[in-house]
Amino acid sequence: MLLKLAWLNIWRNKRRTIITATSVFFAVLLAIIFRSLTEGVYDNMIHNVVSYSSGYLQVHQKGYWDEQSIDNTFKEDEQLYQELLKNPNVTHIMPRLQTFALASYGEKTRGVLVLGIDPVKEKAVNNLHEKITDGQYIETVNDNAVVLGEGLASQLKLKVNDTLVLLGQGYHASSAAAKFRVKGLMKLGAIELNNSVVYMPLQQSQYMHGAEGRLTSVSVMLDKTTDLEKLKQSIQESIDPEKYEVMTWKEMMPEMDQFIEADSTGHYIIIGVLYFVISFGLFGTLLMMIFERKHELGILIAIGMKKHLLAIILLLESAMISLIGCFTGVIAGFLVIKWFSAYPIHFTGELKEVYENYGIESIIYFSSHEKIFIVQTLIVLLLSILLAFYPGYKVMKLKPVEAINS
Amino acid sequence: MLFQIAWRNIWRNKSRSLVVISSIIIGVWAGIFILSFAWGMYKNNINESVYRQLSHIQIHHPTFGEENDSKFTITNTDEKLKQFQSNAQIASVSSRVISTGMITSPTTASGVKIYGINPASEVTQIRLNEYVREGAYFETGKENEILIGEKLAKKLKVKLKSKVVLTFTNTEAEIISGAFRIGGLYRSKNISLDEVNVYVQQEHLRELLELKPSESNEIAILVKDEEQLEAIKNYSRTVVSKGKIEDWKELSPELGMIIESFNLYTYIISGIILLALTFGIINTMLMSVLERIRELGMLMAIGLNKSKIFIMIMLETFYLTVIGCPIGLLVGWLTVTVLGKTGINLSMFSEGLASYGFSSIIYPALDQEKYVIIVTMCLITAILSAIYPAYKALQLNPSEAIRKI
Repeated sequence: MLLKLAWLNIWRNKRRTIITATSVFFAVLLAIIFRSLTEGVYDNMIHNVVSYSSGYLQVHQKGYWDEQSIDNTFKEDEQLYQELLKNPNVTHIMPRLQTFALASYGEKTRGVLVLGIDPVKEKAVNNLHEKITDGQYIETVNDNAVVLGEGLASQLKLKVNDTLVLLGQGYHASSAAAKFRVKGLMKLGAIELNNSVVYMPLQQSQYMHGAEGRLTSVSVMLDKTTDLEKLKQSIQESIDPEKYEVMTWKEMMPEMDQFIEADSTGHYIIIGVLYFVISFGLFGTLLMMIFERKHELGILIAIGMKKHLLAIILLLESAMISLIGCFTGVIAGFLVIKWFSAYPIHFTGELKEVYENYGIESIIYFSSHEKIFIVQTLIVLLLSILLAFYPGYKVMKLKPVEAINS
Repeated sequence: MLFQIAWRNIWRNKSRSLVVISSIIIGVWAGIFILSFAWGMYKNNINESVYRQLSHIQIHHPTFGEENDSKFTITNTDEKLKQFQSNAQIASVSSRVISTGMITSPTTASGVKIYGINPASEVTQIRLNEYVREGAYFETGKENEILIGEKLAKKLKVKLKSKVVLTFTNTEAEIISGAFRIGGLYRSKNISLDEVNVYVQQEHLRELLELKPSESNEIAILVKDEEQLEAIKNYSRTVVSKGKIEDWKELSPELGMIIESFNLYTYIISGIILLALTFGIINTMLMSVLERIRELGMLMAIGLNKSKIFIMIMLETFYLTVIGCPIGLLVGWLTVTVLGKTGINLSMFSEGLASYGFSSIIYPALDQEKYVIIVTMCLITAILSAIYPAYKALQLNPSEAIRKI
């Protein structure tokens, strides 16, 4: 009975209902967009950073992380690749042999990071070939050439087609030394990497280190929205735990995780203020509704309606309106985010340049985790229902005679 | 006449006007608070880099940056340092000898950047001594003492008092090795640098590199007042005429990126807040117009023409905004000023934060320019959001409107 009364009431004055529902609608929409945007910025940053460095997850020989030496490598294993790629969230895998060596050209010698990569797989993940500023990218796993960061090249004073000498430690204490033609120079976003990296086809690197068919790690790239911990679990279960260790980027780069943690704490405060503005908008609408209906409410009480029943009806009305607003808000939020995921906003001008210099895609990326939709809607719903107690409270204090005369 | 009617109208129904005024106050306040808070957060990061790592100004030999070779030096450093110290605008100055090379422990090797420092002057420069977690900050006075990061120590599997060997090339391009004993382990807030930066006594490194006395690779300057940065840069040019003088923005383009992103972020956040504000105002004004249908119909019936009704409603909103904005501005300014002194302790919200070693106290701050932007934007938003309700009022048909309850 009360439910029906409330339902009829909200449609008696459509305009008012629509206005209030719109407030809730925009509250939900804005909260979702805000969260999606802030989460999206992190997702995008993480995605870009890990695609050049560790990948979202890495599989190593057990014990490699604690002692990163070439002796802790494992044999390339087609079965492991299959096992990893079987997971639907895994988009790419990148086998790598990562070592430290001295690089010489002429009189100059520098310590460098030697990354033995599969050029084709790497290119698919981070568009490495587009970073080439001079010369060419390495094409296949056995191309006898290297590509290095511009910063390193200028320190060594070498150009494309010069010959680079690498000297390092090989597998089982053998010595690794070889000469390579420099096929291309590339500009990488991260300065440290730009000043110290030598990319080389995987097989060449394995041959030079006397570690044929061996890898230090397999990097795993995932869909941006994947639940990292869960996936780590499932990968760990599918491969031999005695032989391999699986690590997430959070474990390998704790400083980035901490930075994000620190930054997102600040966002809680910001979104708190947004909720405040939103609830005030809603409150204003409810307040106006009460002014408007004073006369009507007064008459209802005068003809014998119990005050607390009336309060409950008002509460039900607000709850219904909030539900309508929330529901449409979620749908609209979903559509907006779908739209922006399909047609992302690109930065322009100076900022675009700055971002691209850092190797970060210059787009504003919106995250579409289900969590955002659910949590934000619930919060707004809770806020609007809390606020809906106010009209009820007003009714309890209403003096019918004054109200009718107002 | 209209001005007066509008002014009286808004005070006829006080509660309704107060709702709109408060919406505006809250909008302005929220805009100011959020931006100042976000800026405080970024400023926190920037200060961390400037005061604990980069300093405001660094001076190098023009080719040192590109080649990273210790032979490109600034000569007569001692004399130049004295000149800088005598300038009252400069808070601190120090010189460094820098080389890159390899550090070797019995188990493994790693690439490092070796800083030859004068321990006493780095206490005021980057407050390096505060970072020391184990051992002491160059206390023994032995020349082969080395300070390395905890993270590097873990990687090398070495402890306090362990021996490590540094290998690097000297100015004659010969390979030099030197044995050092670990006197202290430090942990800074930038863990990735902890793995590459190691600190040794300046004199000793200078000898190993075969540099002449008083030659060094880097002079770092902290100024007292950031406003004076340009002036000090110019002054530095007179002291070190051949050096390449860079301020922190040039040294670390990442920080430039942070500031650029902040500006973009500012617009997005203010956009979202303003949207929230707009709907609050539209709703309230719309209700207020529709509530007054009878009254407006009456006004029309007695001959107030439509354009005047429109202007009247716009004026009402304008008055409300003009009352709300200064109050919001004042409240916002007070919040920023008070919190800017006391700070907001984020560790309340995230327990883990403090244990990471992040400074978790944020001091909100905002330029005057940004205040102006926010207030202007709120004003424009408020007035724009009155257009629709006012337009709605125009649609009224006087004879019908009067009959409505």
